[in-house]
Amino acid sequence: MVKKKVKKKIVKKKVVKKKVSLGVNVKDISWKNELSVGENNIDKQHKGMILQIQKLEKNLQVENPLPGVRECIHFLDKYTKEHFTYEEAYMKKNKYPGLAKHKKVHGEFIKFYNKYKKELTVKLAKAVDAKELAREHTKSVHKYLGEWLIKHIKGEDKKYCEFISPKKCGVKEKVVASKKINIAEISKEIKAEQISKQRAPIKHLASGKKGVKKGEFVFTGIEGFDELLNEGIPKGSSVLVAGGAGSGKTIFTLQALSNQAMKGKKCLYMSFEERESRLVDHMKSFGWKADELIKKGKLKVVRINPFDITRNVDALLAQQKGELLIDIDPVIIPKGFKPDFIALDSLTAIASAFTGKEENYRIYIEQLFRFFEKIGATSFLITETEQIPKIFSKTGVEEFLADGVVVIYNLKHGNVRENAIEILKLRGASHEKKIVAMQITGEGMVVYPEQEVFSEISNDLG
Amino acid sequence: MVDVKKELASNQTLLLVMSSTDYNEIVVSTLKKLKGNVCYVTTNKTFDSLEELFKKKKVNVSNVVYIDAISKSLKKIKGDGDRVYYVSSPGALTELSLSVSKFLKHDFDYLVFDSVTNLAVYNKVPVCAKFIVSLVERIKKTKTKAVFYGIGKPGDEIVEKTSMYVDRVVDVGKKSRVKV
Repeated sequence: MVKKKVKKKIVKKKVVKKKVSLGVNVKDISWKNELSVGENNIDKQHKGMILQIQKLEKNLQVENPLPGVRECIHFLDKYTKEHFTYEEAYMKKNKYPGLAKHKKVHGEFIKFYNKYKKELTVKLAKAVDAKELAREHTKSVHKYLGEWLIKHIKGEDKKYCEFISPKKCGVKEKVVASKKINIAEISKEIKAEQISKQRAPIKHLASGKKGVKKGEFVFTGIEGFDELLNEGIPKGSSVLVAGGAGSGKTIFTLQALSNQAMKGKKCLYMSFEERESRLVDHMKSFGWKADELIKKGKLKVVRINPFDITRNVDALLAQQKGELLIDIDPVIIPKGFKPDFIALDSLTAIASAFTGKEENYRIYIEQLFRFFEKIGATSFLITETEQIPKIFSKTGVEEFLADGVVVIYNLKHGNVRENAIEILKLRGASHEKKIVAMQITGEGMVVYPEQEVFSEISNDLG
Repeated sequence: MVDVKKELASNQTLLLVMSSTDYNEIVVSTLKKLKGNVCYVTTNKTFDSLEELFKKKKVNVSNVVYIDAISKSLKKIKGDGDRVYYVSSPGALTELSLSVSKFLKHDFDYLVFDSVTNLAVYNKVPVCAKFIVSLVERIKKTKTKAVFYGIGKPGDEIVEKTSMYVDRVVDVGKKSRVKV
C-alpha cells in the first residue's frame, strides 16, 4: 500500500515536470527588447509579469517569506488571467490562425499555476521552517514560472508577432519620454514597503548553528535592525539600550516589545519616568495596537516610583549579608504575569534615586541582572548617556553585566541631526560591527543596515 | 560644447567641470540632451529656481523629478510636491544618500548631481568624498547614467577628489574655450 502511494507520487511529480518541461535553461529572467511582440500593451504586461516573478524570487529569500509570496501570487493570479485574455483578444482581432493552439497553451499554464500556487502557499503557511522551504522553492519559481514565461514569449508569442506585425518583432517601441515618474507614488511605495516589512510577524527562529536549539534566539522585528544580528539575540539576554536625549531609546524598546506582543509573547514595560498613558499614546501614535495588546493580556505597561526601589535595597543588602532569609526581588513583577520580555525605562532614573548611595546602586544592579537571569526573560534596559557616549551607563558597571549593548546616536552635523545605531556587544551571538543609519518614521524606527553614516562620530569608542 | 550624450554612451559616470559663469548655460544644454527619465539632485539652486530657469529656456522637464536638498534649509516646506522630494539640507548626507538610493531603485535613465562643489560648502571635503564614493558605487549597481557637476577649476580639491571616482571628467570651460 505504502509502495503504491510512493509510486503514485513519483508519477505525479513526473507529470508536473513534463507539463512545464522547458529544455534549455534561461538564467536571466529579465526584460530585453528582443522580447517585444510589437504591441505596446502586451509588452508592458510581459514586463509586469517578469518584474513580479523577480519580486517573487526575491521574496522567497527573506526571513519571513509568506506575506511577500502571497502578495506576488495574488498579483500574478489576477494579472496573468487579464494578460491572457487581452492577448487572446489581440490575436482574434488580427485573425491569427494559431489562436486555438495558443489558447490551449495558456489554459495548460493556468492549470499548472493554480496547482503550484496552492502548493507553495499552503506548504509555506504550514512549514515549521518556512524560510528553508522558501529557499528550496526559489529554483522552481525561476524554472517553472520565469523560464516558462521567457520561453513562451520567445516561442508562442513571437509566432503571432511574426504574423501580425513582423517588422516590430523584438524591436523596442520608440518611446523617448518613458513613464512619467511621480514623487508622491515613490514616497507612498517606500512607505508601504516599510510598513509591510515592519508589520511582518517577528521571526522567532532557530539558527542553523550546531548545538543551538530552536527558539533560543529572538528578534526585535524592527525593520533593518534584525539584519545586523546574524543569529538573533540569545533568549534570556539582558540588553542595554544606550543613547542620548531624543535618540529613540524608548521608541526602540516599545517597538521591540510591541512586535513581540503581537507575536503572542508576554511583555512588560516598566517605566520609572513617564506615565503609562503617555507611553500607550506614544505607541498608538505609531499605529501599534497598544490597547488591543493590553486587553489581550500580552502587554503590560506599569509605572514604578524609583524611590520604592531604594526602600527595598536595605532588605536586599540584609539578604546579601545573610541576615534575611526570604527572597526579595529587585523589581516587582505583576502577580500572575510571567513576562517573556521586560523593558526597564530607565536605569538612569533608578540610579538617580540612589544619589549619595552609589555603592548600594552597584549592589542593586548586580541583583537586578541576576534576577533577570533567574526569570529567563529577555530584557531591554534603557540608559541615558551623552549623545556620543564614552561609557554606556551611569557607572559603567551595567555594560559589563549586560549581555548586550545597543547604542543609538543622535549626531549633530552642521545644523542638522542624523540618527544612527550600532550593536556594540552581544554575548553568545555574532553581529554586524558597524554604525548604520536609522530614521524614526511615522510608523516607528527603521534601520538601514547598508547605509553608512556620514556624520563624524568623533569620540573614540574603542 | 561637450556632447553629453556621446560621453555617456561610453561612460556611466561623468563629471562636468564648469565655471560659475557657464553654469546656467551648461545645466540647460545638458538637460536638453538627456532624453528619458531624469532624477535631478540639487544641493545648489532650489527646485523653484531650477524650474524657472528650465521653463525660461524651454527645456522639457516632464520627465524630470528632483531631490531638492537646499530649499528646506532656506524656507519652510510643507510635504513633497508631485515632482520634488525634499531633503533637510546638503549637510544631511545620510538622509540625502538614503533618498538618492531609494530613487535609484526606480530605474532612472539619468541622474544629475548638481553640484559636488556646493556639497563641499556644507560638508568637509573628506566627508563629501566618502559620500561621492558611496553614491558612485550605488549608481554602478544600476543602469542609470550619472552626470556630476563641479563648479570651478579641475584643480579644486572637491573636483579633484570627485575626478578619482567617476569614469570620465570633462572640463567644459576648457572645451568651450577651445571651440571659441
